[in-house]
Amino acid sequence: MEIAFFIITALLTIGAAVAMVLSHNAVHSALWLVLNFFGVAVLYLLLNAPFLAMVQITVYAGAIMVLFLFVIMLLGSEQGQEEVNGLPWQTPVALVMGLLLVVMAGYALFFPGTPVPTTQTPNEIGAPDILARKLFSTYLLPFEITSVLLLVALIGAVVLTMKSREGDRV
Amino acid sequence: MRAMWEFFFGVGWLATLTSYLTITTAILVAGSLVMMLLTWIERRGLGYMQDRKGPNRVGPFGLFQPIAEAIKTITKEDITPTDADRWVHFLAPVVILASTVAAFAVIPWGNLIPVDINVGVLYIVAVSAVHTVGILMAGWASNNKFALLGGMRGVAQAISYEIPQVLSLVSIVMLVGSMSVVDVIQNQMDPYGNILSWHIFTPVGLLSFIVFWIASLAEGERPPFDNPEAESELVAGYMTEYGGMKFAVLFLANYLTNFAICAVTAGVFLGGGNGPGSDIPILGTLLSVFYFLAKSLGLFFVMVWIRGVVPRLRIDELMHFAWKFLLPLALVNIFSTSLWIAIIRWGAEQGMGIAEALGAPGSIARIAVAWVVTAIINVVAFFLVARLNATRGVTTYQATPTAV
Amino acid sequence: MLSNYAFIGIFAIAAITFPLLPLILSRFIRPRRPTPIKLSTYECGLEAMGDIWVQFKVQYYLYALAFVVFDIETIYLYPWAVAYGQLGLFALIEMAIFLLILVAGLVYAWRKGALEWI
Repeated sequence: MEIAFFIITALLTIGAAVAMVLSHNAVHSALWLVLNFFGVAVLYLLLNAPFLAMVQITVYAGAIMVLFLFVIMLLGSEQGQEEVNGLPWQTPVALVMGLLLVVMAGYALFFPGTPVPTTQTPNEIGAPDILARKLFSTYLLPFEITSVLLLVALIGAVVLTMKSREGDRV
Repeated sequence: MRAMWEFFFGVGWLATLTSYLTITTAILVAGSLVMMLLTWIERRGLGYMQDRKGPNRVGPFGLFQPIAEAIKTITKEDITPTDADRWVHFLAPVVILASTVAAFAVIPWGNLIPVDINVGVLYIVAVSAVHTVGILMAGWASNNKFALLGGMRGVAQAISYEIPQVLSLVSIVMLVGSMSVVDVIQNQMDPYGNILSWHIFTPVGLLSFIVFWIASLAEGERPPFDNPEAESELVAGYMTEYGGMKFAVLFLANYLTNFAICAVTAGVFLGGGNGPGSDIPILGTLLSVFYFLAKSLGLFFVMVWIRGVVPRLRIDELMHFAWKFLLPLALVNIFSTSLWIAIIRWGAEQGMGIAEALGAPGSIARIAVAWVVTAIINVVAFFLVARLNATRGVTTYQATPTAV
Repeated sequence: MLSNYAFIGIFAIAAITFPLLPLILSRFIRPRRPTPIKLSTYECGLEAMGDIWVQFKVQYYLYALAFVVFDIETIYLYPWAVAYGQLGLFALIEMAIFLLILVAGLVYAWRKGALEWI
């Protein structure tokens, strides 16, 4: 039952991803991506990580998606002409990277290492309070660094847009 | 053969599915009925506020007006403009309504709880975040200037107010120590039926309520925050190219959002279905549903009241209010909530040995100190932030011809 | 625990069907008499002029990015808020540092005038 559900979800997710890549319209691509995010969220749920699933929907399908769509609207690129491939080296590099990923996934699948013993049952791992305890003890430094990263993103956006706005305005 | 039948359609499996479907249908039907009631309350309420009667011809007191309108919209011609993106135009109302309806999966109707998950509050936040994608779809797919502008404005407003809204809920999650909606409501349960146990009656809960309520009005595009569909500027905003049943679906989504906001506010701040006698076995359930609906509809009446009284905000005022007023207040409130918990509940074990001087955790002296401290912080913060915004003076709005 | 999410899954499917049902039903009931004028883009009775794409202010993008930053921050606050009652003073200080760094970003954006809607 669970495995069947997993296969259906995984196929839908991959299908949405493929449709996103193949779609010619930027907005359509973005909408396919939303479907893809939802599929990933369901996969998180299947892994007993409801908190992560909710984060996936809130941050990706909600926030990041709005950012993408705003950028598309700002540039008006959805009415774009057939673009010339500006990055000719992109295709071979992408192919090599994709192949590497397949090899890595295959290696992980066929030569599984010794599983890390956990004291918790799968049900507990995704629970928010356990996540918080891990976050504020073992993973404290990455957590604090995240805030610096977010700060840098914000300052970068302010600097870039304020500059362009000064140019715009009379 | 029989074994296979039981494997696929085993009795337990089928019974579970049937019960789930029944509960789902019941919630959807009840939600639609409440939505019809809400439109009626809004029109009659606004009517009386504006010294007229409102719809009063269809049925007693015009109660059947929503049904007449449902029949009207379903038989009305549906127009998809030639320039529109057919599929996205069709899917946008579906996405908007579905994201609204999905939130009802975890909202308890008094003692009737559809489902209790340990990330309930976050689930509501997550599904309502998808709403913004739907608005942008509607605005873009219509291929109409007003619709696109309305959609962009709607999303800018929705994301700006989502931050204070979600941050104000963090304070409540801290007080409760759980994200389950049921736990949030249980936390306000008092064995003596004392309404002072509601979250709204603490300094941190009150500020949280103020921020949440105002931000929710903006999220639900209620006046005075209805800029995305400001009819004097943008025709009907992102709904401009929608007619017939598609418009009705958007309309339904709008009122269901309002109901969800009222229901969540009633549950989180006003004790949900808690009230005198709500813990009696069978009668209590009925009573709790009554209390829940009374609180929600009361809150909805406040929404109508605000609509009748407050004029629409200008778009720059609207954005500044979210980022420069509500957001700092929500952050301050999280700080004072952490103090509230530290003073009331913590001992030497958590590094608050000083608080032991005031007595055991939960003692009257501790609560009194926490009350005074958080109340002072919140009131001072309120006036400080208000001052910070006021010293700018009257900002003049300059429309630039190129950028809108 | 998964059965809770099975209910939510069924509810989500019902939530998607809920708007589709009347939309499809109305297809069989409503009249359908399209004319080119009726199907043209609405622009206050005039013929639609030019492209729908207008230059949007960069402000929209800035707000969206600030939203992403604060949304992620909020998400981090939730597990902390759940466990806060038991975590103790140390967690309070850690979160205070996290928040202060982000508030610094807010103050910076405010002072720079990036939050102004002009």
